[in-house]
Amino acid sequence: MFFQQLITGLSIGGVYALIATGYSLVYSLLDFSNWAHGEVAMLGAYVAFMAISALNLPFLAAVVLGIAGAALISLFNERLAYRRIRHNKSPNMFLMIAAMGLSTTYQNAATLVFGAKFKQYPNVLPISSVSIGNLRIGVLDLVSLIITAVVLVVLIIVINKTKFGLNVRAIACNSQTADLLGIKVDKCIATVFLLAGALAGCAGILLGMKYNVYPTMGNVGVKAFIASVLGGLGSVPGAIVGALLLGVIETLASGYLSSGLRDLISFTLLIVILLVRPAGLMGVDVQEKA
Amino acid sequence: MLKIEGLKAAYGGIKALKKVDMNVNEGEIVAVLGANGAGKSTLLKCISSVMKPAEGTITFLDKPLPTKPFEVVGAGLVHVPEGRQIFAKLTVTENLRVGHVLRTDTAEIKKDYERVFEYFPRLKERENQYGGLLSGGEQQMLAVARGIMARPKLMMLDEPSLGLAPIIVDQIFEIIQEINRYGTSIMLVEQNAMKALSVCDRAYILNVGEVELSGTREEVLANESLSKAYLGD
Ligand SMILES: Nc1ncnc2c1ncn2[C@@H]1O[C@H](COP(=O)(O)OP(=O)(O)OP(=O)(O)O)[C@@H](O)[C@H]1O
Ligand SMILES: [Mg+2]
Repeated sequence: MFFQQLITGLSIGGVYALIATGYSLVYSLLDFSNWAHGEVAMLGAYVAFMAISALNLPFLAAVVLGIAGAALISLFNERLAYRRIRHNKSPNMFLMIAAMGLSTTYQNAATLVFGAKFKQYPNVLPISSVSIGNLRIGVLDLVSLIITAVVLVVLIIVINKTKFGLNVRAIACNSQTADLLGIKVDKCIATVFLLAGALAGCAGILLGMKYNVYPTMGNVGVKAFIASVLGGLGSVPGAIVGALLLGVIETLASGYLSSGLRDLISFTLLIVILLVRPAGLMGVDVQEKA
Repeated sequence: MLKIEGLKAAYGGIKALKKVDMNVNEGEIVAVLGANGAGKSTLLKCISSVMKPAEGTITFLDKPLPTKPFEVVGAGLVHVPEGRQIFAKLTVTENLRVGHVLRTDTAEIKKDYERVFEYFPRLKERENQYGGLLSGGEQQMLAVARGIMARPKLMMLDEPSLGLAPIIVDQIFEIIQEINRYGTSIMLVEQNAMKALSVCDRAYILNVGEVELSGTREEVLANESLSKAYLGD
């Protein structure tokens, strides 16, 4: 029982991590909470759904389209709103307000266009669970876990080992000096939005496979926010650890206590962390950014 | 190689540069001196394109200076900013890697690492330490070293002696002369006028946004009003 719960928890935590890492990357670069990030995941899930139902594309092609769509929407948000606000040198609060506006707009637009009804992906997995000894583990959970693990490992390598990753970390440290030394700051930020969008699209499709596709599914962005705070705002490894922890805690809470307590526990955790350890578990110094 | 004509710049309503003409010739060390708020840093920001001048032209190697910072760096002009501006959460090596972000000549980059570590053995010892954990003097060394890694034709240094012990200041100034001998022209902004005048070929004195005096080092040193105002004798 516990082991099954753990696998489920890690798999849902992995999906949170796909969203939380992108959210955290954007936060580390631009110092604002991108509330529209969950909606990017939602739109990615819808793009994939439409690719199947309207274009009759095979599932994998739809997944690729969904991820690409989410990446482009994320980039669109940056070009439409965030970049202008940055170039106007407006306060960071404007970025967050723009993100909230985009979030609400996308949610309502999705309801208008696709309706509030749940949409279902076709069942692509041949079996729904496997038995290992006396354990029954969901195949979707396993697949999701493997996909997220691979994606996150690649992401960490990109951030820590590539020139692009170095540029991103330099901008996060001190964007003015990064600019001065010849880093193409706008181009780097745009690439980060593309990357974050692709990760969110991937998460949206996995969520859609598990829980269906609906206009408010982007509220999962709040979970990504909690995960990021838990791990340490702005830190990518922190976001991953926080997300996995949150996924496991939620699953155990709904398994052993009651599923109604799931969100209560997540938010209590958020408040406790904010009060007791505001720098998060991975201990990134939040003071320095201010 | 660098020619500035009629440069004006302002922050909102505050005029920081009123009309500045200046030039730097190939191979020179040119000092730009002046009191706090004279506009020295503003001048460098305009040259490196992080700030848009209100009026005036800047040409570099007979071409108009590009308007994006990375293009300016690409053209061979590097700005080592005031207050070091080290990337605190990057290691010493990573800081240096950002310095050569636009270069692709791997073999030459390797030579520059060797050169930098020869100038600043201290940085070699601290290769894997976070920039933010270095001492002030080490951070200034890193800031200069990071500038060298771009292999600029002209290096602009903004107050490299700020807040450093005299012995470290001497070291930094020796390295600046060394960089110059290697073939890089230098524009040196300083508060420490005496020190700057001991290494430069020519100097400009800025006073509230205007060039008050300029000339060779000897001419400037011989100027009585300057000696009174800046050299304290
Ligand atoms: N970001 C800014 N916003 C508004 N005014 C500024 C800004 N930066 C500089 N100034 C003003 O512009 C003028 C010139 O400043 P600048 O920094 O160029 O002087 P400086 O010669 O470098 O001085 P210091 O030796 O103290 O570094 C000053 O009056 C200063 O108050
Ligand atoms: Mg200054």
